[in-house]
Amino acid sequence: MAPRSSFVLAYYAKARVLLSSALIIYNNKMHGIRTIIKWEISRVFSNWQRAAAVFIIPAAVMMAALNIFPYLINYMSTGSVTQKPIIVANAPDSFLDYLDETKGSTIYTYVFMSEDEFITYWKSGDAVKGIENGDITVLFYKDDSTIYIGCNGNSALSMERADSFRSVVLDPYCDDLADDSGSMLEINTFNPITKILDYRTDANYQASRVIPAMLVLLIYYCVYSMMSDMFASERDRGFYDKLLMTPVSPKHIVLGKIISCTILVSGATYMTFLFLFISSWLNRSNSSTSLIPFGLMLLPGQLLAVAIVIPVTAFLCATICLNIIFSIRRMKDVIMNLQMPLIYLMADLFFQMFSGDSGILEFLIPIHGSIALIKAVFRSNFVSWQLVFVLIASILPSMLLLHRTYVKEGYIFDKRKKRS
Amino acid sequence: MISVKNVHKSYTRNTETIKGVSFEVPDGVIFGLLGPNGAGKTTLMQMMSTLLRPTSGVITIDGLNARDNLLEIHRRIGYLTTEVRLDPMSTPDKLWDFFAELYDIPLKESISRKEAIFYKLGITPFRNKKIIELSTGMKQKASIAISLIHNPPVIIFDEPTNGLDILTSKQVTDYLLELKNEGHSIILSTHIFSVAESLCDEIAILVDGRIVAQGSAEALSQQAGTDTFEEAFFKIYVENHVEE
Ligand SMILES: Nc1ncnc2c1ncn2[C@@H]1O[C@H](COP(=O)(O)OP(=O)(O)O)[C@@H](O)[C@H]1O
Ligand SMILES: [Mg+2]
Repeated sequence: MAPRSSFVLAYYAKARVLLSSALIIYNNKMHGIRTIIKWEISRVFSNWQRAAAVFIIPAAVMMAALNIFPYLINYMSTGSVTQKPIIVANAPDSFLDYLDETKGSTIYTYVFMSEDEFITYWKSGDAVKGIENGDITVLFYKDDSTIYIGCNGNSALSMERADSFRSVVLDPYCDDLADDSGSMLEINTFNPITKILDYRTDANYQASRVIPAMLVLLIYYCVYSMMSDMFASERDRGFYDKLLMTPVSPKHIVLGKIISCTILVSGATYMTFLFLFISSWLNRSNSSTSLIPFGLMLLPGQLLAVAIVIPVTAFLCATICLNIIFSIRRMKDVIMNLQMPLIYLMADLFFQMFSGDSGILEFLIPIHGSIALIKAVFRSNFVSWQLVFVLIASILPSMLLLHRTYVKEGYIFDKRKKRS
Repeated sequence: MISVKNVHKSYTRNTETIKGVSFEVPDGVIFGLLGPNGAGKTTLMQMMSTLLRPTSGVITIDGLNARDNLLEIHRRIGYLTTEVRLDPMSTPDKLWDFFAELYDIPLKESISRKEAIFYKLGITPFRNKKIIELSTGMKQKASIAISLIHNPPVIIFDEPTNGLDILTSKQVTDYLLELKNEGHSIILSTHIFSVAESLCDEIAILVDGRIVAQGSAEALSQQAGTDTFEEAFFKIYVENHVEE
């Protein structure tokens, strides 16, 4: 029995050593960590320019990007910056009346054609060319009372636009006809709550294409700029040496800084999130390509999931930056290498733009999982196991990275910069 | 009390920056490391203050090995780096409070020490100004004050009067003498022999990572057979420096 239990004990001791970096927070020497956190946070707020740089600029960048992106996508897929009109051929009077009375007429602009006009247009080949370039063409075919929608099947945006035109205009129109009640709009079917939820379903789905990846990209960017100030330039300035000379353990100094970075970046990201929603609710021109369309709304549970994922992701990003900063000597190389993950995140952003729902395993990929989760939240497919997966995929690697940095730089967290 | 025994340091595999240095500094003594730029003064001082690990050799502070008792040693040494650049947006006052908290100094004690040191070094007039608005001398004084925050028995100052005018220099050296009389052991590095001559009880001349002569200024002049310490320094330097 004895050898077995000693084996267990040895294993336990090993596990404890590994865990010690995680459990350092609960160490009774938290004093140093707290002092560092207080210092770093008050440093940001002691100066309004710094505070603005941390809290307003990320939100502003996000807003600008989200307002420019739709035009970019539109341009990439259709070759024109502005939105194209919907071509409607052979429309019956009932449809024209319907448009007059409903919101469909305010979202879209139309070009109307008679049957003959459309046939010439089609034969000339312009119609096909137009569709390839993103035109949406709607043909009312009287013979079998069918409505055909033409769009470019290779362009996600074109499909998306056709789809939303169908659900916003055509389906309600057909329902209306089927009702056959004589009047086009029934006043008592209008229910404000269903209306808002309708908008929400649509808006959240649109938002899920870009916002999750943008948000995580922003988190990394903020962490990167803050960490390079907190460590790299401080190390360069020699101030870091002064911290190392205090009786606070280097581990605690590093942890204190990482935690303050996480707190500040999470704060900035929550702020951005808030801006996002405000911007959405102020966005009344509800264009179908808008990435922050009118009516963005999350339920409390969904909001909570996002609120948890943000700091966890920020912490992971901070440990990644830490590892880069302490494994490279020269300041110039440090900055270069810190920017590498931005490229990965950019690639992910483009991937997300055109990909559908995320698979189970995607939630287990660090950082990518966080994007997948926020995306799932916006698409209303969020389930709690996804959060568990993302937590595992974020916390485990950050602990390993922290441990690795601690072990590698056990003596001090410093490789002295090379002097000429 | 500091003792340095046969310390070597190589930054790269085939060059040795410190080539076997040994000395001892008892309490109540100012020990000067005098040497030209690149002699290895900063390297040596960083090793004494635990920021760098020697390639070989032993450094003890009050009998504690600098390798193993990091945090305890940090309580005992005050270290001033050559080019300190404090957080530009902060003020001397705020920096003091921050470091006092890191050193876990009781608030009352911290405040009375702050008043005393700020007054002595003449920091009081600009204590609430941003670091970015201070002159080199003011910044240096603030750094000195902060490195002495915990009243350390051992003081390691790397070129403390570098770039200071004569008046500020004198303020600093007077304060160092005062600290010496209180029984602190002080090691300072300098490339200015007049500072070494007037201030240090014991001077070690460092050339190319080796101590080539050691003693009081007078003893060194005698040893070299020159009238002044200045001549002695040049003579000793020329005799020992090897062009590569
Ligand atoms: N981090 C470093 N990496 C490589 N060489 C270094 C490093 N720091 C200093 N050196 C070299 O060590 C020698 C001594 O430098 P230093 O200790 O700064 O001299 P001093 O302070 O006496 O002017 C110089 O030749 C310098 O180039
Ligand atoms: Mg130097």
